[in-house]
Amino acid sequence: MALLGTILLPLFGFALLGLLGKRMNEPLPGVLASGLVLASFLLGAGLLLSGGARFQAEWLPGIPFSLLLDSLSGFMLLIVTGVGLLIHVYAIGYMAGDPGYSRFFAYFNLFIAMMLTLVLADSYPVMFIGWEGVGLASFLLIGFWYKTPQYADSARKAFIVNRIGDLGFMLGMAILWALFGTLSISELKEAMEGPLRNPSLLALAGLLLFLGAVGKSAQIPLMVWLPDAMAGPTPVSALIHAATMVTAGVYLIARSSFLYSVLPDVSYTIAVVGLLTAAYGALSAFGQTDIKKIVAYSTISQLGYMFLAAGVGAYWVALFHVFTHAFFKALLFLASGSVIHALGGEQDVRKMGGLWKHLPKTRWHALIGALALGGLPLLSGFWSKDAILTATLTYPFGGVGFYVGALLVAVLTAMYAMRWFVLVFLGEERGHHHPHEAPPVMLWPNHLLALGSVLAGYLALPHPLPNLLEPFLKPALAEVEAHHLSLGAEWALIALSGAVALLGLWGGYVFFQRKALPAWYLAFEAASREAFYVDQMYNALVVNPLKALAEALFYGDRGLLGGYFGLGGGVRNLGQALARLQTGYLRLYALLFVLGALLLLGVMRW
Amino acid sequence: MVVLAILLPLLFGALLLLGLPRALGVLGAGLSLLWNLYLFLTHPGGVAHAFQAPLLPGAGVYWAFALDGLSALFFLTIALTVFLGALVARVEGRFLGLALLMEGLLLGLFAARDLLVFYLFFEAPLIPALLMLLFYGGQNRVKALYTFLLFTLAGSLPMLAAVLAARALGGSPSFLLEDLLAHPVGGSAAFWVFLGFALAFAIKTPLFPLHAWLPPFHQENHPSGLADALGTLYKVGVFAFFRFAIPLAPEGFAQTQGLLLFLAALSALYGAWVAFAAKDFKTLLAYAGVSHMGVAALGVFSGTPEGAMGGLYLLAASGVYTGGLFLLAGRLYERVGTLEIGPYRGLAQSAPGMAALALFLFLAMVGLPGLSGFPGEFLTLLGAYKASPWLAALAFLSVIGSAAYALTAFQKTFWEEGARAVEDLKGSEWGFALLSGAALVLMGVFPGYFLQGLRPLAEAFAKLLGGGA
Amino acid sequence: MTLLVLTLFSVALTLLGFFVSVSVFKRLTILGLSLALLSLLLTWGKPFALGPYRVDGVSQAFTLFALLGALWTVGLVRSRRFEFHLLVLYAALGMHLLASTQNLVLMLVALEALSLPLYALATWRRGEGLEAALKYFLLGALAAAFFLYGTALHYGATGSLVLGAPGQGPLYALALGLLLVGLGFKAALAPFHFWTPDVYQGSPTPVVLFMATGVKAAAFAALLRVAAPPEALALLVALSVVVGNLAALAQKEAKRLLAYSSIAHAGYMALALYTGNAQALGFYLLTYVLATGLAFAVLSEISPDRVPLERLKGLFHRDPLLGLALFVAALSLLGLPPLAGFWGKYLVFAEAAKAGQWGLLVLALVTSAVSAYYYLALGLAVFGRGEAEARPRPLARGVALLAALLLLLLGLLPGSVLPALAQGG
Repeated sequence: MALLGTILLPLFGFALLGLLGKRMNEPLPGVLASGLVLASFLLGAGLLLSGGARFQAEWLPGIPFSLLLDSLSGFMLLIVTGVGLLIHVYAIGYMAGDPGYSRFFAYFNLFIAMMLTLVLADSYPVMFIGWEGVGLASFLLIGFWYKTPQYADSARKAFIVNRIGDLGFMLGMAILWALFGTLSISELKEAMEGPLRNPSLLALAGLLLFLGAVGKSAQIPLMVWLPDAMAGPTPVSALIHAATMVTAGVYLIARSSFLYSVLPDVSYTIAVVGLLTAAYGALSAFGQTDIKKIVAYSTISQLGYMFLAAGVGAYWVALFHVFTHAFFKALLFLASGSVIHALGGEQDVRKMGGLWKHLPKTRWHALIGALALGGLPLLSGFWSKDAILTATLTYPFGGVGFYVGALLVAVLTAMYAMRWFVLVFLGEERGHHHPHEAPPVMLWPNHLLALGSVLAGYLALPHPLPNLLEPFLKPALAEVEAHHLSLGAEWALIALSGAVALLGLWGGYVFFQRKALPAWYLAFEAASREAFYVDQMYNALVVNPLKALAEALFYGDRGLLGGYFGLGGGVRNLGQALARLQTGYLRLYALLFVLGALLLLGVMRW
Repeated sequence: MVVLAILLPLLFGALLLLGLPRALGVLGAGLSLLWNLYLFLTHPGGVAHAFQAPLLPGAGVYWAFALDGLSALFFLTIALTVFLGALVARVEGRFLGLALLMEGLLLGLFAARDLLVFYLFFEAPLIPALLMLLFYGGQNRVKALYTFLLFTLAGSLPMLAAVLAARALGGSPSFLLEDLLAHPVGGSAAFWVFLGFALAFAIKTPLFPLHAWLPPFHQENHPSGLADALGTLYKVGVFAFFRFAIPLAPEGFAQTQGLLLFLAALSALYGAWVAFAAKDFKTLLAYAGVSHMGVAALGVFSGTPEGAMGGLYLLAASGVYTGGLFLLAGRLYERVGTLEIGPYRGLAQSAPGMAALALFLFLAMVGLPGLSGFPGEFLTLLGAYKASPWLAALAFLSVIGSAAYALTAFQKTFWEEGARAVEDLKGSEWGFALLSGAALVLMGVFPGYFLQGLRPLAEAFAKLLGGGA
Repeated sequence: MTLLVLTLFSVALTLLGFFVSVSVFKRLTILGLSLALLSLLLTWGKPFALGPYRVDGVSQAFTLFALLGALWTVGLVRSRRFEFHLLVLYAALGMHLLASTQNLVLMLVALEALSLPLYALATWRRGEGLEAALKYFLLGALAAAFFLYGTALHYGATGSLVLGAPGQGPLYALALGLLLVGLGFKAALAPFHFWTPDVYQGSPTPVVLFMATGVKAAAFAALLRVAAPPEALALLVALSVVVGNLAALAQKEAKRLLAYSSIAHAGYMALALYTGNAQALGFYLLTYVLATGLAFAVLSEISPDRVPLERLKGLFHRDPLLGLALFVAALSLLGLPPLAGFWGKYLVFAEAAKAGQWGLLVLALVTSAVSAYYYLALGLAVFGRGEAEARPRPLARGVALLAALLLLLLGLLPGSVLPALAQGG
């Protein structure tokens, strides 16, 4: 029951603020919402310390509403409520003065409640509640400033694209239900022990669930919604579209590791998709001019890394990256938010530059975030990314190809991270703003996130240094046998990745401060700005044809009705023809009478 | 008990038709809701409150009514929807009287335990539906009316042959459901008997391509949405398949199951797709209804307990949310003077309560977990997958489509920038909002409670078809 | 009893007609018919026989319908000549006789006794009416010839003039076929229906009311006693429901429309002949008499002549009661529950089902779905925008209300009268 409380607390906040928020004065809604998330955090942490918890209630026939707090869900719970709390607090300052202040926090609390449902679920349909619930919260928050049609479009697009993935999720559940007669994760886990009953169908189920993850985590080919989702207020981007919701796909794979660990082909697919997405996101980040979209594409890319890790079988590594990424990506977004705040709403990096001297605190936040993203050795991003790189070689579904690919993407990552930093903070001022540093309520969360971005990596250091995370998560994840590298090889790889990151960071730092960029780069940048025309392609090949077909069907449907009318008209004409026999001529009547009588006698059986 | 539930709205409806004031109708709808709520809450399970009296003496025709778990659920949702309509639809007393008459007839339909009495109640609501359209409909109502009536009768009159055959060929001593179930029609006759039922019920469901009557019916009905809400409740095809057509001629069903599943899946996808191109609320909701009924029918046609439960639950839930959306469209019409989607926009600014209510209803329709549309949809999927994986996948493409049409309509009404300010919910509209919101949430969060009476029926149904639980 | 009352009044009124005023005469006719009705009800369920004249359940029930039709006609008509009422009375006598005998010769006599007054009534309005009546008369003569032939052959085949005598062989079959033709003509079964639309359209509306109700009842009473060959019956039913319903679709004039409707209904009723269930047929006739009588009664309040559907528009707004009554009548004819017409249809269709005539049954049902179109056209016309003229008399309105209520009541409680109908038929 207490476990349910972690969900109910923020849900209560949603109901309360949704119904009565309008009558409250600032900053009461924000404080209330933050307080409830804090309470949820404390409650969850307490339950986790006391050894986990379970909750079960009747829901659908044969499908109870079951929650489970184990190390895996507890880990996620702490990220969600912990980082969530910080971002809530930040938003108290960021959203100040917005007419939708209380509405914002109502949605925010709804999001936390749904995200907790997602992570605590011990059955796929329950997870699906949270899955769609966070989608709803995301929809509402992307469209928070709904008056701008473009923002409203973005919100709708996010929801619809996610629905494609959700359909996969649902169909995957249907297969599991047909195979096992249960959708409880614990029960499925037990049922999967022993020989596989129907491996190909199971693989299909795995792929379909992964399709759900692809939608939620903005992987190829369903990544198009995430950059547009930046239409929402910046704390939304930080919380939902960076730190927590988008990692739900990774969580789904990890939660289902018992399934994927026995499906090598599907796992391989996941890894490939992850790597491709990582590369795509990184390449697309170069051309962006919106301060938040650069970070958004980097999110896509980093999520690709996580899927790569999960795909090769290193589930705990994927979660490790979820953890570190939550800090530095939230930090990057919130720092962006502070910049936007400082510039009175400006988001175009071409009109920024030279903010180093104006934002004495935010500049450090941004620098730490960018360096952690770029993988500067000893910062958190370095450790988790390195763990992924190593895992591609040591885990059973990995391979050298993955390693090389991931390493190349790491270089790109470091470079665009520096591009972002250089364009915003260095060089000369290109805009005409009067920047002012953010208020303390926005700075303090960033201080803490910056601290996390530095330290989070120390939770799981490479062998032989202490690794706290892997043993903690292990009981909740499937056993995957990884072979160990020799100590020398391992540290050589670490050195290599550190060197590569440094090279990328330095390269980016120098390159993007040049006055004139080479022509080949400008050509690349132009394509990158449009994210390699994927959106346009989708519109031309999928969206518009479907819309046109809808119109065609709509008019066709009228034609169908017309067809029925035609049928009716035909019957009527037949009737008219029959009525025409009624000429009024007695001769004809008499003739027909006699003929009729003969006919009658004719049909009789003699 | 049951008879009282049926007579109550009939009586109030008749009084209103005689010219008594509208407030009395609201009272009647309220009493009916309370009574049906009582019946639902105290329902002991199984077949309860049986009533039986001879209708045609010696001919095996009885006024036979009873409340089982399925009927009890529909009693509740029907009475709720009608009460919501009585609460907010600003129509004259006689209109409400017709609506109450129709409510009573629909309750009779869901409680009937005699095939011929069911037939009676299957046809009888046509008359109030027709009169509502005739007296309060739009410009092209006569055409819509012909379409509606001819479609319905083209199905239901030939069905009378199936009704007669179900008894005559099965050798049942009466039209009572239990007698008929004890004497199912077998052999090649089963096919024809089932076909007779199936045609009528497919039109009433409605399944593609027999849905063509529905859009004009809604387009031409009164903008208040009251008649549309009742019309939505009248889409009883899925229920009728479950209770009568399939159990009475299971062999006939077995022969046509593939085709029916296909049509249901096609309807689900087609309706959602076409709805996206709709330019006004009524048309949108009409096609959305086709889509939802396709899904519900898919559940029942799957012949599995999950599917049947899901399909019927979806049918019950959709009565409330689709009816609610029709009524809401009526509220909008009163404020902006059009049912078209798009010319005003941005209403969330001036009418946040209304926007929230609309979003709630739309999301229930889209099948968001936690609201009333999801349990039915999901159970249907689980069942339908077992019956036909490919068709299940085809049908559930509609979940993407439904998100597209619902959110598009929502955005173009309540979001974006609009020049117009309208009044937010007021007075009884708040009652409408709270009551329908509560129903959506309760039916979404506690589906197990609402389904408990249905479960044994669905399991027996599946067993009959050889599926088993 | 009934025969006695009718005969007495016929004779007495024939003489009296020259001395009393028309309005008094009308009242006397009504009195006579009412007394006949009363005598019928008093002896209800009690068989009575006198030579070939046999009163049984069938005769009583079907005479009841005929008398109701006659009463309604007399009550409605605004004739200034006493002969009209007298002719109705004669015809009613003929109908009663036709319903109350199994003797072919007496049947022939009765047939002529009911037909001749009707021929005269059909000419009531000169011009078109005259032409229609002539057709009716000549075709009627043809039908009578068939009937006579049938009678002769029946005697040849069985040695008896009483229907129901055992017989077999082609001669016997031929006899039955010919009798069927003769009676089918009266009942307006296709393909012997050609007179119907012209006569219905050309005759005064009250006369049409009488034809549609009384004649049909009497003819079916006689048909019940003929053991019709099933194949021939199938032909009649199939042609009637198809021709009647389809041709009615194209009609724009109410009386002509109802003429085709009456052909279709004859087809439905003939379904009951398979099993010869007089109860089912009787109930059907009852609902049919009420509904079609009601429809014609409303029409006659608008005009005794043609009533194009256009002229019905606005009737509901002018006179809600009459408008609704016509609407109810149309829906009952269509057979929509909860109106009485539904139970009529149900009962005869159930008979067809018992006889295993599934093909015919489906055909009948499909065509009755088609019929929805024209019944709606008729029923909905009253709600249209227009200036329908109607000068209804209070009595006509009262009767219309009564008939409409009866249609509803019988629809809700069909069991209340069904057992009383045609026991032992």
